[in-house]
Amino acid sequence: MIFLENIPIYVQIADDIKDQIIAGKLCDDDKLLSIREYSLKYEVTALTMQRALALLESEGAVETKKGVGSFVKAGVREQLKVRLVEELVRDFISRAKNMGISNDEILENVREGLDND
Amino acid sequence: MISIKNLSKSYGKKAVFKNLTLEFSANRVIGLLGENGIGKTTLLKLIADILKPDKGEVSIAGETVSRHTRAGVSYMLSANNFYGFMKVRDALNFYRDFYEDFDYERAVTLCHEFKLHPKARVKTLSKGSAERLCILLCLCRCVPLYLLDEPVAGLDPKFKHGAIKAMLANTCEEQTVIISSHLLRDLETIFDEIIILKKNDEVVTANTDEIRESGKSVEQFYLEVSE
Repeated sequence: MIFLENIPIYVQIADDIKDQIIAGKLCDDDKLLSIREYSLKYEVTALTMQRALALLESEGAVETKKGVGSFVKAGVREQLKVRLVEELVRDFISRAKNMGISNDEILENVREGLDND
Repeated sequence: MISIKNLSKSYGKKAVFKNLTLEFSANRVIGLLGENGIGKTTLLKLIADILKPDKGEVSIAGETVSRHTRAGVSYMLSANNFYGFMKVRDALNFYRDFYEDFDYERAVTLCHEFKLHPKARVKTLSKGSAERLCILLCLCRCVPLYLLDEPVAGLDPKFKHGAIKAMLANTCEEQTVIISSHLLRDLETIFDEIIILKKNDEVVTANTDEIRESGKSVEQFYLEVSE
């Protein structure tokens, strides 16, 4: 995975794991890899991986059972999807507004984009 | 973990450190940065007890560095430290005989991964191959502290990833790894912390996540600090 330079790596890894949940690559109650396995997969230190998993846990996306491992929380996929869409829309609107595009123009562009899709 | 107090070190008339004080935290992968000639290698050698300070103190886990602390430190040698007659296999055997904590089997596996032929002469290895040999010898010891001096400078991208993976696979959270580098981009994703040496014994210590949380890249931060 290629990381962006100015966003903490543990945040980017947590996002990547959330994307896997949303995409259905990781399903309800699936066991995540161990910190060590993830550390080699993403080529980051164990400390960074611990932080990524702690973030996922604090956001309620995974559950960690002591001595057993971390698991995808059942039913979290829909929640993550809703949150991700909200984020994307918010980001899209704020960028469009920063460029001075009006609400009507935004809507028109989205409609046009969907028609051409 | 490592504490440097009021350290001074000169080579003849050339003073590298006049009064250096700094701390390295334990259980982290730490990048030791700074421009060429600032003293990164000298500092690593002082921690490894290869060089002696003129004044001041270097201690590891509360113990002043000496022959006793050496046993707990794996310092990455450069290839010209091996005898001319040595083959890759001899270098491995040398480490096995010399260090009780050397994981010979792991070293043989890594030789294969790093495309090092056991019968190749160390002297005739390419720069990149020699560097891979030195990295693997350093990492296959099992100690609390690893010191690697510019480990990936001569590696092509493929082996660079292999070397980074080997560094991560061979060390655990209870170990400390200090890596000196002027190639920040190659290694910044595995640094938990960075320590930047500046002129006049000035030192900047920073946590890489905190740098990125402030919206900066580690390289940007380094450039700003080194101005």
